Amino acid sequence: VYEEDASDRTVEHEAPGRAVEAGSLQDRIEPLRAEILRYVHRLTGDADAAEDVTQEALVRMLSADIDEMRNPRAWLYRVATNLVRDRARKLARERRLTEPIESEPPVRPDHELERNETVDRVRSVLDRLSPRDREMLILRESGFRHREIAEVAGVQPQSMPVLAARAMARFRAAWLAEVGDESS
Amino acid sequence: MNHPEKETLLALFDGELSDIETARLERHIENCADCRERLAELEETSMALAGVIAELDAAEPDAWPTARTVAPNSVLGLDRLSAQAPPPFAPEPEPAPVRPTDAPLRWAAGMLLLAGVGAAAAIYTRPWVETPAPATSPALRTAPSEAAEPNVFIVTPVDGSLVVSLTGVAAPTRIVVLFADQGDVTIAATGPDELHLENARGSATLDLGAAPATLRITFPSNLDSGTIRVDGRTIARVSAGRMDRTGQVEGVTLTTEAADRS
Repeated sequence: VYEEDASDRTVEHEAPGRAVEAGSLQDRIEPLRAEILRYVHRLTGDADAAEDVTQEALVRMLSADIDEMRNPRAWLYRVATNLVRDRARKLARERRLTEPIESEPPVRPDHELERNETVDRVRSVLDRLSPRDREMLILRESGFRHREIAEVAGVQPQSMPVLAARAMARFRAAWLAEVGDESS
Repeated sequence: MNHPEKETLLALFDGELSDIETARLERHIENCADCRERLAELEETSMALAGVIAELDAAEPDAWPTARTVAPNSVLGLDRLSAQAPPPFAPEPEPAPVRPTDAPLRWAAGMLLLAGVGAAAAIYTRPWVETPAPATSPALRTAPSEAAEPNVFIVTPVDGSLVVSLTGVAAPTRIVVLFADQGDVTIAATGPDELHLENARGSATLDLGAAPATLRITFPSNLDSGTIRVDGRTIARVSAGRMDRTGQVEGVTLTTEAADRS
């Protein structure tokens, strides 16, 4: 027994576009900042990169015609995704051109070391995956439906079931490898 | 029928298939221990992924706004696509909307995995699957520990029901409830005018709008399994009158109470 009538895919008190009528464009898109920050941070593990990419993505959205977009939220995620990809390519190029610089690691308290170690380990699980697998899995975990993930990741919707299943399988392998490392 | 491909199982698991296709697979899975075990594996992979991501989120700078403050899709009309387009790979058109009570939660076959024979083997040979993971390290926990116990509380059902209340949910928040039983599950939210409830095939999605809300989920005590996700994070799993908290989300508190049977 459902107290809400779930047959209603649309909500009777939901007024499509109601919020679009109120407030400036900046006011309207600003709430998405936290969401994009989190998404990019999940992708990169880099807080500075997350802030840069989020700012750039929001600026681009400010200059776009949001009311003409079929799915503005997916559009914003796609812009952020592309910016992350561009950034990764740029970093890889720079890495090839520059010599690694050895430096002393900063001294950290024990609890911080432990915390960082945990984060490094979960990060290493995701780093074993391709960028596209990471994107898909993180988008899926963020509650996106498969068709929306396809839109953000720029793949054919028809390909999503296979791509998502492969990404899950590769994540599982990476995760088991990490857990295996832990128990060994 | 032949065993479904892994992509079909994932689509089933994610609620992406049409009702007709779902029902067809359910019939197979009910009689196929291999497929139940494959689904169990999918569930544990999904939980592991949620744990990994929760760990990354915990490393966010304190100064950042919390993602809870994000506007729901509806604020920007961002859910237009969802409202219009059917799943692209649904092999058959969606039938006319059916009330959940008319469409029994037979997707249970997918989630019954937790109680299934095949699943039992998977779970008990991999103790970290069922370990109620503490918020500090849900992803890589390999064995039950005392430290995890504060995150677990046992509820003795009264009159056969368990009520889980989520209070202090500072909207907008998306809450997904997955359940795996043919028993009655009732979900009611109070507070926001913008409540959006979509449920089908053993899951319910609620988009809470611009105001704080209280969500009351009544699980029957014989529920084989249920999962509550807030903004993509699994925060609790429910099984046979026991709720295991699997993650923390700021501003969300879970309490339990006996169901009001009056």
